[in-house]
Amino acid sequence: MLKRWWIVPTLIGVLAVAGLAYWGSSVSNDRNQLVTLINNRNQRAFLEMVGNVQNMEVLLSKSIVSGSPRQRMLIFADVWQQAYSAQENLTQVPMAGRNVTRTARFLTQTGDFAWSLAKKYARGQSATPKELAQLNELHREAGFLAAELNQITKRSEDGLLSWGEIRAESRNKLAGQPLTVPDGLTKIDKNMEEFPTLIYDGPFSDHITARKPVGLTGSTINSARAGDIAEKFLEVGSDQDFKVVDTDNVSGTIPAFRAYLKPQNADLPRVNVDISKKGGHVLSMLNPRDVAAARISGQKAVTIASDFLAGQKIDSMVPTYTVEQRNMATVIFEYKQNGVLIYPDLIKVKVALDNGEIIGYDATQFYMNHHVRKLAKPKLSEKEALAEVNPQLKIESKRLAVIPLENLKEVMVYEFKGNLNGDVFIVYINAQTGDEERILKVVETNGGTMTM
Amino acid sequence: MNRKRIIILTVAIIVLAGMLVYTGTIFAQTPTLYWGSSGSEVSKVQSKLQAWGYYNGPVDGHYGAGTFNAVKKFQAKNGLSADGIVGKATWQALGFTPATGAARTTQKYTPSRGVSGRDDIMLLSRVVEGEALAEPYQGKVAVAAVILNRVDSDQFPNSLAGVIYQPHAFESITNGFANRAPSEDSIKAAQDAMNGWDPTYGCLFFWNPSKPVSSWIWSRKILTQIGAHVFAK
Repeated sequence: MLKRWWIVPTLIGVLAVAGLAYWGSSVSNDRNQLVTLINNRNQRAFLEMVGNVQNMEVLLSKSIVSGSPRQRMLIFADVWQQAYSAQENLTQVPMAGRNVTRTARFLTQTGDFAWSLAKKYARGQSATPKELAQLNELHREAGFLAAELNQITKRSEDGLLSWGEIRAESRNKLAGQPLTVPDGLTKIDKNMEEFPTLIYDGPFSDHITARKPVGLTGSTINSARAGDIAEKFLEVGSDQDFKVVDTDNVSGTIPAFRAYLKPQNADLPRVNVDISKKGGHVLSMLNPRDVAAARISGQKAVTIASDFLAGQKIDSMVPTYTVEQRNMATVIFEYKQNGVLIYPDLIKVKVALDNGEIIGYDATQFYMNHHVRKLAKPKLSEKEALAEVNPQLKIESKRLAVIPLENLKEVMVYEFKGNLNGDVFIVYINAQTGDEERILKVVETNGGTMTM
Repeated sequence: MNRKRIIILTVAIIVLAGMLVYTGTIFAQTPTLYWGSSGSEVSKVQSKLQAWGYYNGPVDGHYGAGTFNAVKKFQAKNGLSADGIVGKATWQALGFTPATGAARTTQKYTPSRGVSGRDDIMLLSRVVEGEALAEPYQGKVAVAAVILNRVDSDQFPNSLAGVIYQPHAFESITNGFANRAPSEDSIKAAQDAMNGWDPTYGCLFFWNPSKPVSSWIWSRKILTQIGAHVFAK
């Protein structure tokens, strides 16, 4: 009997070891499965991108060769789709701490450029010699990218490819210098640097990303003056007495001072007021205080916001929309010139619906865009423009406006707001050509009601 | 960038559907033609004018001086304003029916119901919560604005979910902190950013300078600092 004392502990021990081994192997199995799953996804995104870039190269060369405008238009639409897809796939490759922004940018711009050309052909125009030269360059660059990507793919066939994402991968590595895909892509990205600037008729054109404000007037101010302006600005919209506690710099497209202010008699979070260095214009303000239950209506908020703007001596601004969310109303104002609504020149004023205090202000777009426009007399009458609108739409309101297109060019349009079985649309008809420039749909969201 | 931004700014949460409509009009039969136009539509006009004796140049699909003069002659003869532009009236006089400005749908229109801005705000505010929990309010709005600027940028994915779930883009997404329920402040900050407030003035990157970050990020141009984060383009 005594001799067998060890049997029970041994049995327990053996069971424990077996259990542990089983648990360990299943954890390791799960882990391997996950690693494979992730690698497969990465692989898919990467290989799909390689395919997209190859298609781009082929399509770009076809677009250069093609002699038919209609065919060209279809090819350009195809280039756009392939470039878009390539960009999506590229940005799904894990690139911890590395960067492929230049490649991504090349892909977006090429697609965008092709799309702008497709639209050009759709309007019955054709590419200029300069644009054809740019196409040649893009074709060359796409070829370079495709060839470099092929290098990486080739290594993947040799089994030397890794994502460098999961540590355990190194265990499976064969002899030789492993290359991670992110490393390879980073290397390519460096060589994309010298790509020339691309200027064309689309939203990602370099002339748009580099645009400068046109609405700033006056001379440069110092930070003390900015503090004064900030205090005065807050005093108008509030019964609190604000004092500047800190000032920062913002060196964006509009160089500015950022003043932080606190109310004198209350422990509330800091309010920031951004003031342009040129001219001392208030660009933006945010007061993050909590807002209690609403006691004033959205309608009253519009009046308060209008009075506030008038007090700031910014004239000819008319309220167009109000968005009510969480006991706050954001009122959107547009500039009006000779009875025409100028959409690019907008200012937003946020009113707390508990006591009517102004708790937010944003005039950045106004100062980026505002200038006196030369408004040509519309060639079309309102009636002629209305004939271009789908007759099913029940028109509720109409007016003349200037809207920015994708390329930020401004066009004068007739704005028709209409209703189709309960869905509200806004249709913009070019006042000179009768083209339908844009359609917007008004959506009532759960986040807040929107009224016009 | 800013491609969608301007309109989003202009009318808050209105959905843009213009592009679809644009592609719909691509195949309109009678585009406006003028000096410099080219294509089969120009050929159509040229051969018509040739047949009627207004034009004696080649039918080459290029709207040049010859075509221009012929069109003007034709317009003058037909009581149209002789501006040399083939617009709707001229097409009609040439015997082509212009595509009517609006096609009539025969089926009854069903109002849409799938769109709500709510999902976007919740997704955005969760990342704000994860990335800027301890930051001042302005810092929260700034983080949300950077994410939205990325959606508009040509260097990043083109949708909010694409930007947020881009591998290794946001630490709180990688480590799962962003799955927590967002606080009231984060939701408010996300909302302000959606409504167009951008304390970063177009920045695409932010990081905490006291923490180790990859070296290339320091090559970006820093525009401002809010709380513990610096913001760069």
